[in-house]
Amino acid sequence: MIITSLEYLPGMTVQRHLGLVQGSSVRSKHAGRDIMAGLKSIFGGELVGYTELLHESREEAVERLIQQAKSIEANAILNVRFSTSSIASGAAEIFVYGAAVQVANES
Amino acid sequence: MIDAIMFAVLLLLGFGFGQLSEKRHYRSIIRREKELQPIVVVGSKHPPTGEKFRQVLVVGNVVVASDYFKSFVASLVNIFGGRVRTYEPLLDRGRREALLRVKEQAHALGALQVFNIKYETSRIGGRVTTIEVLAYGTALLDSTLTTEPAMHSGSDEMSASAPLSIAN
Amino acid sequence: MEYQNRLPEEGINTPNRHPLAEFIRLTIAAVVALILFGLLLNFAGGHLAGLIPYRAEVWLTDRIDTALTEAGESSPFSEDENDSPLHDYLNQLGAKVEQALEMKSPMAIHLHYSDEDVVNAFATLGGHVYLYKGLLKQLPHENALVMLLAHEYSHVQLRHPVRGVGGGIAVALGAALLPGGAGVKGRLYGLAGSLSNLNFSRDMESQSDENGLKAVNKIYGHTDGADDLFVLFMAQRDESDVGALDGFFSTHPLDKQRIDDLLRIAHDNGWNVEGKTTDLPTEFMNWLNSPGN
Repeated sequence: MIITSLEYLPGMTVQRHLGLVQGSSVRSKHAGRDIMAGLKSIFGGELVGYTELLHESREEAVERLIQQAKSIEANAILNVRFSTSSIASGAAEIFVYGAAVQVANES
Repeated sequence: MIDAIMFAVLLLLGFGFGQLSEKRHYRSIIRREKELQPIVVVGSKHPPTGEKFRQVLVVGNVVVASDYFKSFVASLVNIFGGRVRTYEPLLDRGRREALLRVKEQAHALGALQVFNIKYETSRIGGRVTTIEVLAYGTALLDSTLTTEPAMHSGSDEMSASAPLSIAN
Repeated sequence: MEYQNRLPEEGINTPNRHPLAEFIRLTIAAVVALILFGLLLNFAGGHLAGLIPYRAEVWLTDRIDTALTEAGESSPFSEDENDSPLHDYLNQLGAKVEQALEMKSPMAIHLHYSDEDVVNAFATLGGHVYLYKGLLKQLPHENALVMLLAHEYSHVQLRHPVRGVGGGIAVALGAALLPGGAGVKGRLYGLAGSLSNLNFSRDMESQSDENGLKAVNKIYGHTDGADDLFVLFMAQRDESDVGALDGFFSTHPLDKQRIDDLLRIAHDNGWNVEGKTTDLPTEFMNWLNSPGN
């Protein structure tokens, strides 16, 4: 599965557009991490725990995106976009979507 | 004690009605998605070239609320962290409903294609988790059409099983 | 180029649409976690508070007393007027108990008498011990009174009041720190806190019972009559007819259990459980029973 944020794949042609595919995942941080991050946020800087959490969540969302694309026999997803939104206090959703296509090498 | 009873009642009501409305919504979503399958939604920014089209921005939004029960489960997950499964159907429903409204609008305009679909999700406050999903894209209308075509109904013209293809 | 609109399979983004099992699992886990958290905080807070010097505790209660008195409120840390025969007698017994418990000199105990008809007595911060008329009136002999005093003095000696307060503060702080502590979680947490508090104070009661019995044995040479205090409590509780859950939610060990424990402790230490009990002075009883006191 080719996943790209481009519109076209260099050296390949898009044969068929198969529609929109999407993946999403909601994660919540745990109370312990909350307290630590709360302390850390006084001083600023990266909150490594949260970076990891959202990274994991993004991986799962992409996994679901790929599953959707596979279920409609696509072999590439173009123009992929990510969006992150806070759903409830302490819970964030990672959403990823793109155009499922069938591509072939240019002959 | 009264608090506890109120809480139990709210949980029970939330669970019952929440599951019911979710099931009903999904049934409607699946049915309408099949009906509107001929309207092709494309993630790409580039519409087919060489043809004359009129472009119309089509927008669909929906505000959906989770129920008391699911919000409570999510707040429990908040203690331990991890996947919040109870919010997944909420978001899925919101996305699909918003996109369906885009398609319905495109369909009403007589368009068969909507390009460059984008989503926007935002959280709207409230006791129970509530979100708004906005979907928008550009519908392409054949510029040779002068009158707005009537809304298609029934499945004779729009076969649900056979995807409509547009040769370009 | 061909455009199709294929519908992806259902359920990829929503693999699990049945939240009930998750709810049950999470609720159990949350209750267990909160109870553990509450217990830990109560324990830690109690032990930290126990490190506060007794002098600091007294200083604090004196400040509170001054502030309350200036504001015209009644203060639990004010001195009683020590002019009744009751106070003379009680203070005299108290001195004996202090000696028997080998209490260090700066631990001054302030005895208070309340004329309310409550069958109770308690020790609070700053070495202030309260005795209620309702309880004193029913005491069968001096041995039970000494047991009562020794039990309360032992609380002070072991710093139980300040440790209880410290644990309570730690639990309250923990509740404030928890995200979303106001709602249901707050309620669960409160329950966890009070449960752990019960456990904590039951241990304290047993400790003070043992020390109290030791003091009784030292003063009278036997432990007979010490358990009459709990017989009295037991009778009292039977009268008020409490439910079966009382044992679980009680801050004190069950009375029957306490009486058995006292006998076992006496036996283990080879103390004499048989002996002659000393009567309470008639002057004291008359004073208690005269109206207006």
